[in-house]
Amino acid sequence: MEWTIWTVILSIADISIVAYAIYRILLLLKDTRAMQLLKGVLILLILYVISGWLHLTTVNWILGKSWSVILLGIAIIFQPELRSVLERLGRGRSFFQRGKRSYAQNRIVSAIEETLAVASENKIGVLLVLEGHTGLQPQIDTGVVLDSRISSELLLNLFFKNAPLHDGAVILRGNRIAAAGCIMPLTTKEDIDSMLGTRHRAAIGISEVCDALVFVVSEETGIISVVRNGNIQRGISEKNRKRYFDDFYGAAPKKPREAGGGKKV
Amino acid sequence: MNQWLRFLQRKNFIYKIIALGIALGLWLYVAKPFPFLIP
Repeated sequence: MEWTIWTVILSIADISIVAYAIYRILLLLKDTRAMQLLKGVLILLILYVISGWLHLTTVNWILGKSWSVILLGIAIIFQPELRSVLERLGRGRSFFQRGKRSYAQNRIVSAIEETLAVASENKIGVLLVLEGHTGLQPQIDTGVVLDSRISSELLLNLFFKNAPLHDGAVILRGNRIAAAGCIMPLTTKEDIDSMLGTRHRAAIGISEVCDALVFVVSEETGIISVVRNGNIQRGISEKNRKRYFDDFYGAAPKKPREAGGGKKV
Repeated sequence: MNQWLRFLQRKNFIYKIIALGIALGLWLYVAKPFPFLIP
């Protein structure tokens, strides 16, 4: 390779592009189970390279032969995570789509806010899932299909203690209540607060595999939490909930602020 | 030690370093700019 200013510039550009692509992939995989696996694969890769350098023929042969099996295993075991990462990658929202929330969206927000306020005050357990771009039909199928207009009265009725559908999640699709009593996948994260029960784990679980906006009210404490992309914010204020709504509906230029509004768990 | 870790975790610094390291390693391996280093 001949070194000229031009080749140096091209090499720097080459490295920068690859580094940026890897960085974005790492950010996508951050906080997912796939990240731990990636670390394992990296260690294997380093071992493979070192064994090649040191001429450890047998170790190098075993590692070399196992790559195809490892890659196939990754694809099978981490299918949900990989799907979620690819979906997030393809979702990329345009600035041009951003504007003000529509009248219908404002009505939904008001109904949800009222539901959360009353539920929090009366310590009624709530698990409310707002469907995003990723479809939640598999989860809707596990509950009772309602397809009804959204109102705080109906939502509170659904979550009311001992009501037949109070266990499980209510899924909102567009401006309709799609279903109630839906079963959500539980998170497999181990580093979450042990005080959080099944409702919160289900909220984190569903938000890990889709772009839904999830609200939870604790039955024990009445604390309102908001969950998105696997991150839970507990004790979130109305002002910060508004930011989440704005971000969800693509209405505001600002992202929901993590600090100040609630405690990240 | 904890301060270091916190520094590295801030603004995804650690991920930037890892990404740059992998990219540089790949470039050294593929482009072979220094044949005496990596033949």
